Amino acid sequence: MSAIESYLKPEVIRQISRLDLRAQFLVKGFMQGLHASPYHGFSVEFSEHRRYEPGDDPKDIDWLVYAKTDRYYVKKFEAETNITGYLVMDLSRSMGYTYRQEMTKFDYCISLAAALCYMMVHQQDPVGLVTFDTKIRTSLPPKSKRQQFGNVLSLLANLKPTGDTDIAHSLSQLAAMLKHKSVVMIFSDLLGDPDMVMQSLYRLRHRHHDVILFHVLDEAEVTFPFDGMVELEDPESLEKIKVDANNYRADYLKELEEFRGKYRSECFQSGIDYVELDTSMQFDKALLEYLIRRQARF
Amino acid sequence: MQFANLSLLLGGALVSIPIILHLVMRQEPKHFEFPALRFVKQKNIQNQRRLQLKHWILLLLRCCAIFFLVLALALPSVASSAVGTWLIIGLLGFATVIVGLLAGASWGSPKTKRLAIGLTSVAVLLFVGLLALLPFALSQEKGTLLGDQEAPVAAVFVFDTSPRMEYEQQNESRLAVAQRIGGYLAGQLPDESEIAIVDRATRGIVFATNTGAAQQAITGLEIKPGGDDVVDLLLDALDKLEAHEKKRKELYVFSDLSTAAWDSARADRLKKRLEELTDVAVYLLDVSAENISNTSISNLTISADSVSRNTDIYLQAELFQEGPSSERSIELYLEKQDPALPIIEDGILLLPEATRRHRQTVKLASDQGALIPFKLAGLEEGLHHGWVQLTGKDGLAIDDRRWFSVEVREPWDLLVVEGQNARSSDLVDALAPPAFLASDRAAFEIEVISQSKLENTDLDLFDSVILLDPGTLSARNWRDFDRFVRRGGGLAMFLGSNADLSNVNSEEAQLVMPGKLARQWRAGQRNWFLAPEDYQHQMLASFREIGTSVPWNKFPVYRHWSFDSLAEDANVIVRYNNGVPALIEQAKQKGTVLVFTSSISDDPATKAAWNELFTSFESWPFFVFSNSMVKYMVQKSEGKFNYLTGQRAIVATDDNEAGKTHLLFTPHGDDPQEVTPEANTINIPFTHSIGSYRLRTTGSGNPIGFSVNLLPKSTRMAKVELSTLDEILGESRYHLAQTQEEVVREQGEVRVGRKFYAYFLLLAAFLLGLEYALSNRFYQTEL
Repeated sequence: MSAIESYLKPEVIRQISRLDLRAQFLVKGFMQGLHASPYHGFSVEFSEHRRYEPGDDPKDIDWLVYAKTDRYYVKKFEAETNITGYLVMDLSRSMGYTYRQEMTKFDYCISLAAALCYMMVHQQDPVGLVTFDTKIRTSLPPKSKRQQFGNVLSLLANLKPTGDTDIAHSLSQLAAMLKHKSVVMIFSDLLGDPDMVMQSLYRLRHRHHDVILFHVLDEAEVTFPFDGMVELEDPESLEKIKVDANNYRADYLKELEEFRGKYRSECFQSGIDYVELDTSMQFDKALLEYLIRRQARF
Repeated sequence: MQFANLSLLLGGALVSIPIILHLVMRQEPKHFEFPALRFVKQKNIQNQRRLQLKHWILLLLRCCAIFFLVLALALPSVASSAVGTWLIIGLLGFATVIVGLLAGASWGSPKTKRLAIGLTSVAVLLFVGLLALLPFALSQEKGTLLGDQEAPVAAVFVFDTSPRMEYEQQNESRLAVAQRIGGYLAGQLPDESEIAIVDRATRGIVFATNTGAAQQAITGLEIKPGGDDVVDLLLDALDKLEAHEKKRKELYVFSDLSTAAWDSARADRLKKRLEELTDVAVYLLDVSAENISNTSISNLTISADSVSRNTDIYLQAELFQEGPSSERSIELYLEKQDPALPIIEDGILLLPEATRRHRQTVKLASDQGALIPFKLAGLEEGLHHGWVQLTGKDGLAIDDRRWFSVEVREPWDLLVVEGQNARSSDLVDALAPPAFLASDRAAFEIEVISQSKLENTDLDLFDSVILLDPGTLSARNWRDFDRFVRRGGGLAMFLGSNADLSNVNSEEAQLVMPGKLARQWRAGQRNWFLAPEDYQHQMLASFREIGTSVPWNKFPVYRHWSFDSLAEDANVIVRYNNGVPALIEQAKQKGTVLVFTSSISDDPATKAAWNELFTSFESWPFFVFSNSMVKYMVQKSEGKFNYLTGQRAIVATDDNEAGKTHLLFTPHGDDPQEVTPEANTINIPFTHSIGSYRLRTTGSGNPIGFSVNLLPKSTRMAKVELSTLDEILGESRYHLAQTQEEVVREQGEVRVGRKFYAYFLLLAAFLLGLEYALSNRFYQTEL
């Protein structure tokens, strides 16, 4: 694994305090691993030639140049069409949770959002930011200028996951708010009523938005690593339950799987990309998901 | 159930530790924030219930493991008799726990509710069964003291020293085997034990605190032909053990287990006593021999102990063959009469020379008997000793010989008193037939007088007096008769028409009469006759074999007397067929009074006879009966010369030597003992040795004596069935052993009981293992 690729690991990224650097590292590490040129092939306006490199799409080889020079060159294009993206960040208190990872769910989501923002701005896609807890709290309109990256980062850096949450209501609000067809990237642990959440997601889809649902859970929430008798407290409702963790693990995991499965199947049916993440996973999965989605748009 | 380390049971309190840990020291759960609580909540309630159940199961297993560990260390043991019941209880308990656990587990899931109900019902039923069985098990152990093998005991060793125990096999008698095992066991008893040795001759059981003394007593045991039987010995031993202060009591019985030893009328009482004294452990040591081969003279009968001169004496030996068939010779020896013998010379008993009078070879089939008759004729007057013996050797020598003593004496003097018009000729001819008188063989010398001459007759000159149809007798006559009878004379009365009610019922007459006379009865058209109910009385012994074919009904009785009431000690020997007593016997001190309620002396020519007992055609039954009657009467007052072991012998001395000291020579040949007669008789209570006993004065004079034999059939060695032993001693109430090893093992089981240490330890280990496996399963970390 190269040094840059290792930046895709949450524990490494955590050590970088500056969010902009984090985003850069993430994207560069991610790109390094792809062995392809994700920057290219999306726009139609020619910008320059360059030598063919393994990983380039052979269809981009400029055969005229080859005829003249007997060398392979590929054509590079400027992006012609832009995709408006919205980063939708859940501010609920539960997002600030981690059991034993370097990053909380919220940190993880912010890093991810920053990286995506970086990629989008770099591609001159307009990107905006929406945060919500029980309702939409802040909204940064999408722009494709380079300074937008800075704006997004400064906003992200100041966010604190403190409130109660009503994902369904907030997403409904968002659906009403968005005028143009956009890619809506939601970062949440989805710890609410799944039926209500799905209703609001349907609403977004109904307005022809592309929705990528990053379902981020803490590693502990996925593996239930507790041992013996434990008392668990919900940070939002402050409800407490005593359980025998060892005895209960199987049931918990089953329940969680049912929960995720429900989202998985319903999202699939409604054309929503459902990305299951936990805070111990590398970021590339999330980034790749965005790129695939973006590519699918053309 | 008892415990060797009872105090360790206090360790049972340790069971509380897991309970306390479970209830009080409950572990405080670690606190965690956990936003995904909604996934936990879904199945929480059901899970909590399952969790609690698992906790309770583990708690139960832990408690059980500790409980059984403590139980094992307390060294529990139960009486072997109750092992079966305790095992069933154990299994029931185990099943209850298992079914209970399963039931508990099924209650945890709503899907298995029906199963849970079923299992719970089964568990409850098992538990009820357990509760029902527990008191039974405890009652089985009531009084049984278990525990330390080395706790001192009070032990009684009962040895059957009957002659059967002399049976030899492999050069060792049964008694020797019993002594060997007994000596060993006595030595093995714990220190400070008290031991009593009891055999047939023991009088009063005394406990010895010294094992050596007990062993010495065992070594000194001898065969005792007489004495108490085993059942009586056991009863005495149980009484002593009951009173003994020691807590642990043991009774050892050494017996050959022959039917004869255990055939006792008091068996029921023994069983009852054993049921009462549950704290006495009974060990029955079977010292019987295998493949017995023995020929015995199991009985010897003699026609009469005392006969008049010239009377033939008939003896009958009863042989019995146990084991394979054999051919044996049987001989009869008769001692010559020698007034100078016996004497002890140089420590040896010198007896008169005996000559063999008969010899006969008999072939005896296996387990079959034979009756061998002998006849002795022409014996001189005086007492004769002799014996019947089998030649050759077999396993048991003591029953190869039986002794007899017979007295030949002058004919008995009879006085026949005729009442008015009474005719004595029929009776006289019956008692002393003319042909016998001619050949000097008659058993009786009869003098006939009329009643009027009675006043001037000395009754003491006669052995017996017969009154034929007596009329009114004076008060003096009645008193004379009373005195005569009390001294040993026999008085027979045949009541007829001369009898006067007031005279017979007078105060003086009642000294002799067995009751108040009531009235005369006439048969009229009715057919009355003598109707003996059975022939058990000695007087009727002659009829025993032909009992039912005696034609009594051919000899009608037309008239008879009846009594109002009979004295308590009066005994009706024969009744008429109408139920009225015909012949009544009453013992008066040494003598006997016989009253026949019909007359046999009527002259048929003068008046209607009272009966046809003598006058009917072929009147043999009454001929025999009258002879038996008079012989019974005279022999009652005569000496008895043949006894069985244990009986008290009574010997009449010669009138000339009354009051003189006599020397008693026992069959043992010990130094003679001096005995002094009292009222012309010598009582000898100790007839435990078999053989001829002889008595003579220190001066001259004819020796007197008697013979003592084993009880008939007392040496039959057929073994008693185990079921019979169970009936006598009570099932599971005794421990049967044949060898030292067996009895030691039985001792261990009774003293310490069946130990459960290993089982409980195993169970505790199993429970701990189960607990470990379950807790691992319950708390396993799923990675």
